Amino acid sequence: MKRFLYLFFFLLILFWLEAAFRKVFATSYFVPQFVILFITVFAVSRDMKETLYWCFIAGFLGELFSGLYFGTFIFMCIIAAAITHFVTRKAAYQDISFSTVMVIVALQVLLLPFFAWLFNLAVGGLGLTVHPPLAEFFSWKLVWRMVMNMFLFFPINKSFRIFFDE
Amino acid sequence: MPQNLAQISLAVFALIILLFLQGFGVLGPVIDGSRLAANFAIRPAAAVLEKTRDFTVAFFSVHSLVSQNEILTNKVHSLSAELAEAEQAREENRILREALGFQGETKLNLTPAQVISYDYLNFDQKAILNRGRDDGLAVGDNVVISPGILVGIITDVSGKTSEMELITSSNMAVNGRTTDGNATGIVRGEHGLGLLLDQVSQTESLKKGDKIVTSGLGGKFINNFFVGTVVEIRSGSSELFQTASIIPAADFRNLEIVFVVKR
Repeated sequence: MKRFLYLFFFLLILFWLEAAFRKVFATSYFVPQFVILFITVFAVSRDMKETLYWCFIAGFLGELFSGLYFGTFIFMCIIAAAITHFVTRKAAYQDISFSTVMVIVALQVLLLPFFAWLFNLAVGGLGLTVHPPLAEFFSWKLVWRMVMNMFLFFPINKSFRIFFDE
Repeated sequence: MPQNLAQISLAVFALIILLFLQGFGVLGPVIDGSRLAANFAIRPAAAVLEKTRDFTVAFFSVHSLVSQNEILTNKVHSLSAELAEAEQAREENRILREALGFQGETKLNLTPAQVISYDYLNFDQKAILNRGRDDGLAVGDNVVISPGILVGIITDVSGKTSEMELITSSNMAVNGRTTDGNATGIVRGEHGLGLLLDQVSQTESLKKGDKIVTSGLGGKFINNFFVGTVVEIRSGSSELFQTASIIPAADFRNLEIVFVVKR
């Protein structure tokens, strides 16, 4: 229980930072995706089952300000976890190197918008929302998001390892 | 891997259940409370970041501030003269309306709201407001900033919060016209980058500097809300319709307080 609370507190700090940055630098692609990075560093060392639980917790926090239909951010967290698991278990060693991080972050930044669009397409198909056009999900500015996420991955990963790698 | 796939499928199934719960409004109060609590919690950090941003912007733009100051001073003088003329015209208008027995201008029922956050994912052009159904807001309510500049429309309402879609979103289409009434068209968002006036007939007169307001056609948007100013006519005379780029009347990235027009 204590471990869960500490993890939750760690996630809350990251969410708090991302939410504050988003409020001040609205619509800027320079703001790193702290919550997605939390799921990524979590998925590197933990099993899929535990990661998926945390996808729902972290995803719910993201949903608060997501703007898209409810569930999009949770779905993105699940996909982010799946990408990380695939890369670190099947395509590379679990030990995180710079190139592995580059692959994970690049895949996430490019694929997550697509899956978010796909999710909204499905929800739109049910008549629950009007799905936004695909072009809205992609911008060349995603490159900045990729750079920032890569840059921030290592400090977050290091903090996570120090506090929670029992 | 198959075990992982099974677990992911189970998670997606759980997500579908959550979607249904949200559809029935079960999660609404939880989301509402969490949004307001998060908004309260991020205030200190946001204040520090705002100060840092403002200082940095001021530091790097100190050279242009001097010339801007001169331009703005001249602008103030010219606008003061325009204001005096407008006040005179307003008074004349009032007198003529009374003389002709015209109906007075409709008073708008405005509810002030604070922008809690912008779209977290940055994909769409949406903002979360700290007013909701409990304050009488409903889907379709227009959102303006003072004095009557259209910024968006309410697309989703919870008890204490609501979602507003900005007019710069590519999902939006606003019936607009020039203030002189010489041209009508449809104002569309350009993926959050700006606005485009489209579907203007070649026979209509549209020129750079024209002010665009809502026409009220279709009833989705109340008429005479200011939308923006034409800065460039994009299409040639050989095309079926005229198209023009519009500079929005408001800076949509820095909205803090808005007014929801209750129907």
